[in-house]
Amino acid sequence: MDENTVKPKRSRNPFAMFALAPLGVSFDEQDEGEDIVLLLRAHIVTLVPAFLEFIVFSILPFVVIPVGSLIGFNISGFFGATQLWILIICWYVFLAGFVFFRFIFWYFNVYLLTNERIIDFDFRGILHKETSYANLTQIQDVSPRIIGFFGTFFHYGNVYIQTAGEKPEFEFMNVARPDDVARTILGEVRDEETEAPGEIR
Amino acid sequence: MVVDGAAIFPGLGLAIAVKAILILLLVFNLVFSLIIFRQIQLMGKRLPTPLEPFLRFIATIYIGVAAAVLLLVIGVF
Repeated sequence: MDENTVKPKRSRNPFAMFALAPLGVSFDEQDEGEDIVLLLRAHIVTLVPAFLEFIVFSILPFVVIPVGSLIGFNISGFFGATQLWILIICWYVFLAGFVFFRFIFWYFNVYLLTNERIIDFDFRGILHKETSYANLTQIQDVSPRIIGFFGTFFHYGNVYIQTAGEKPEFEFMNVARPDDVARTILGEVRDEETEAPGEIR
Repeated sequence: MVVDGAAIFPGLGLAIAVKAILILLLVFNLVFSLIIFRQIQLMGKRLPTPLEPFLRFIATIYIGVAAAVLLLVIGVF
C-alpha cells in the first residue's frame, strides 16, 4: 500500500458483514506479512426469513393448543400437564438448535480479501465445508451484480470473480456494497501487480 | 368430531408412540448438537474470531440442554 494512503478505520464489530481490516481475525494459512484487507459475510437482511420462521415457530405451541381444542383435537386430553410441558420444552430445544445453526451458518460463511489472495470459506451444510483460495495475480475479472428489490433497497448483491486458478469463478454471495467490494479487490490486484514476485507488502 | 389417540396409533398408546418419536428426535438433536460443536471448533481453528470462544460456550450449553431433555423424556414422559 502507498505510504501516503490514508489507512481505513479497522473494524471491531464481531458481527460485521463488511469489515475493513477486522481486528482479532486471522486464518490458519495466513502467511507472514499477509493482512486481511476485507472480511465479508452475507448481508444481515438475508437472515430475515430465518428470523420470521423463528417468530412463527416460537408462538406456534400457544396457537396450536387452543386452535386444536376449537376444532375438536384436544391435545391436553391426550397428555397430562407434565407431558404437555415436556413437549413444549422439546419444541423450544429444537427451535433453539435451528436458530443457532442458522446463525453459525451465516457467521462462518466468510469471504476474505487479503493483500495476497481471496479466500472463500464455504459452510454449505452441517457436514459440508469447503475453502477455496486464489492469488490476486490470478484474478482476471471482477463483476458486482445487484439484483432485485431487496438487493437494491438494502444495497447488497453478488460479486463474481473470474480467476485463472483451479477454481475458475469465485462468487461472493449477498455481500453488502458489492461495488465497493469489487473496487477494493481491483485496487488490491493493481497493488499486487506492481510488486516483485514473492514480495509481500 | 373428536379425534381419539387410539385411532391415530392403533394398538399403541398415543403417549408411548409420542415418547418413542420424541426420543428418536432428541437423539438426532444430540448428535446434531455435537456436530455443531465440532464444526465451531474446526472453523475456530481455520478462522479464529473474537466471538468463537463464546459460540463454543453456547454450543456446549446446548449439548448439555439436549442431553438433559433427552434424559427428562426417557425418565418422566
